[in-house]
Amino acid sequence: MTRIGVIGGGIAGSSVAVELADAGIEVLLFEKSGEIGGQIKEFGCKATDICTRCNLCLVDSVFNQVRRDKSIKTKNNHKVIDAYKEDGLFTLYCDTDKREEIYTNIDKIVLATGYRRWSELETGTPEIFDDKRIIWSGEFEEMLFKREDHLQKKDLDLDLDFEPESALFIQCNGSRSPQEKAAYCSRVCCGYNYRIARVLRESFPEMELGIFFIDIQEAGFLTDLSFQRLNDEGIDYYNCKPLRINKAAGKIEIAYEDQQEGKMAIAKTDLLVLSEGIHPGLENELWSKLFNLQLTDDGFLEEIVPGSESDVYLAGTISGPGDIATTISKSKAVANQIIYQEKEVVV
Amino acid sequence: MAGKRKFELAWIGDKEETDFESIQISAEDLVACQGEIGDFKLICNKENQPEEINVANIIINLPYQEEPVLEKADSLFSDDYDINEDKPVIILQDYPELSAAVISQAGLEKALEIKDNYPDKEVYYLYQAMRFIEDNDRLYERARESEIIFLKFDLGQLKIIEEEIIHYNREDIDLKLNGNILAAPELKPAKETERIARIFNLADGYKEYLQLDNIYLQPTLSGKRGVYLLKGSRGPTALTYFEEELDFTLNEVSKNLAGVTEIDKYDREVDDQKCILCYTCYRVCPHGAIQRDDELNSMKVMDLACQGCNLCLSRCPTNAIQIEDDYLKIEGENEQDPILIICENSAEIAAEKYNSMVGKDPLESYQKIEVPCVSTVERGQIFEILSKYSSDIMILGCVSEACKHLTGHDRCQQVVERIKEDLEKLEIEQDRVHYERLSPRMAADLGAFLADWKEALKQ
Repeated sequence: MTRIGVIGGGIAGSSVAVELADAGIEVLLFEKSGEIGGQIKEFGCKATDICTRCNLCLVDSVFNQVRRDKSIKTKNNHKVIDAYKEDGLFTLYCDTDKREEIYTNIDKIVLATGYRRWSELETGTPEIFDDKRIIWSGEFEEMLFKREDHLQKKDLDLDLDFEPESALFIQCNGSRSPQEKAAYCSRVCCGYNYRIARVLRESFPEMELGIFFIDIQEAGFLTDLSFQRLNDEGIDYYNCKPLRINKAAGKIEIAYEDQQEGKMAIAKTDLLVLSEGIHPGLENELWSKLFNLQLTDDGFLEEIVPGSESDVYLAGTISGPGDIATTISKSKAVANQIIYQEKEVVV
Repeated sequence: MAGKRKFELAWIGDKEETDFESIQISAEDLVACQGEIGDFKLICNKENQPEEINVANIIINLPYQEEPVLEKADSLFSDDYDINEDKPVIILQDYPELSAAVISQAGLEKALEIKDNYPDKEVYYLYQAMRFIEDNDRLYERARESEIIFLKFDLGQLKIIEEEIIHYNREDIDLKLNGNILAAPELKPAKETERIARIFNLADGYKEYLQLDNIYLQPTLSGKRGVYLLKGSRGPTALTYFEEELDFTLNEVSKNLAGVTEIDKYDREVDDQKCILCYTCYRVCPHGAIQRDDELNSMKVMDLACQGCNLCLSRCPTNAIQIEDDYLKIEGENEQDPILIICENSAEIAAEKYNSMVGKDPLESYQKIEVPCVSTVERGQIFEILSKYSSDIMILGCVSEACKHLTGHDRCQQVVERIKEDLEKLEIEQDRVHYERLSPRMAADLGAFLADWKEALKQ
């Protein structure tokens, strides 16, 4: 019987596992942390009065199915550290809490170890880490995950020490920045910060809101996002990257170039939310060596030969930034490729 | 009929290369579609030669209609454009509205092509936002290096004078550009979209496209099993991840060909003696799973197409549609407990998540009815519960526009409003029936809300 080893129990790995299990294929799902779910596990719903298409609705049913399905053997606390292939079969070495475990006779490998958030890199200006008025979008996600306002029709609990009357978002942190070794666009941040801004707008109609961005992206199929729409929703936008952040007493001051007037200007805010660029996972280099994969200039992975020949497949943000829906659909496509080959072998 | 042929896949519109036994049918020739996944019957009428074609899967792949934004400009997509010796070339993107990412890609490629062929030519690139897909970031870098002049504009900073001259005014720059304009056309839904929607009985799409803007349909599902949507049939951003979407779709087709199973174990039978052919079920079914059975002269539920929401059952005016499953069964130990009617796609998942986080089932000490979609709530059923039990009823549906059965939440809302009207007429307390919406991610919210509600009821 075919055994597939899926490395990484986030949404990409779990989507692949569920699809394979549905087709009657045995799956070993290796997760380095104590439970499946990955980074998406504690993102929060960004619905206002209507769905803003953050796509998190699609996620939990996948994880629940992984937990229920008997043909998916989930190995939590298993960090894959080495692998080799012999006679067409893979052997994986895993570091667990207690000892090293070895798994043999694995027909194919799916790598789905995801990305790192820029904040995890701990680069950039250190003073922003200790100011309570400056938070990462990821911290906002956690607040939204714990939200108790929607059904209860209350104001969103911001879980801050102060009550901000204004909030500014800065996009392209750790993205489109050669200094950060990330010249690429992370593609999802425009979408999530715009959605967060809308949630704030609904909860706090009086709050002053603004977004700094270089080029606003489609970001996960936000088809009708436009400058006009931002205007209509009372969200100021600054079509530029800010020049300097000054942590003045009281409000934070952000110096930028006013494009309309052609001169320097200062925007002031109580709360500053920094988007987080998507950076390649730490394991990518190891995978490239173990499984003969191409490491791109940006540090993501690409196949050298197709998975049908190498028996190694890539799923999710391991091969570049992507939104939730695209990650799920691409993962399903990867699983279906494997299923299709299995059927052909049987024929 | 001229004859019958059988294929694994039908392309309505453009065809892509595949290994499947496939047939290409033009949208104009298509007259009707019957059957379901694995066994669709497409009725075509080509040059007045009617033909029935049997296909297992259908991909509707119609090109966008390209609407020029300026009469005198060339299209960015055209290879046949004027290069005037003396005048600069002006690439115009995002006029009048922001455009999809694929336009940025086409614009950058075109600008680089012109700069490669005419190195001395001045090329201006006017845009509101550069959007990134595939290797756009690299193209953009190259374009910057090759001295293409990028001018970004915001609302009100760009005016077109007499269709030829572009007035750009931003900061200290005040430019009047006169040159060969290559403008990105506006992309509009494919031709024949409305007719195709009727043929396949698809729900009303988004901005006149065929696909509803619903997260459960991503990326290329139509709501009707075995029918997929690409390009100008799908939606305004269908070209952003076209290769991935095509890949996904073809893999779905291979999976379908390997075998399709029914969504659940229940049969939904239409009693042909009771069916009055009112087509209510046909209209309400979000998955195009209801057809007319000409032999029995009644409607029928297509078992493979059915997605199990039971909306047809709850809406049939003559109760002609039967199911063996008691899907409205009340579960609970104490008849005094308040009653929750919960959707298995939102509240049920949120409750499970809450339980795994907090170690406490938020639905505990409630009586519950778990439904595949709250749209199946009927007035009769609610009144029955109200007369039999003394407790309140809370219906928990999905956040507006995040319904797995597409239109379910709105239909439930209508029913609840009518129930409240009836209760008012009967002078019974309206407050006994409640309706709220949530998403499967609102676990903490659900837990707190239900605990509070129970407290409120006690008082």
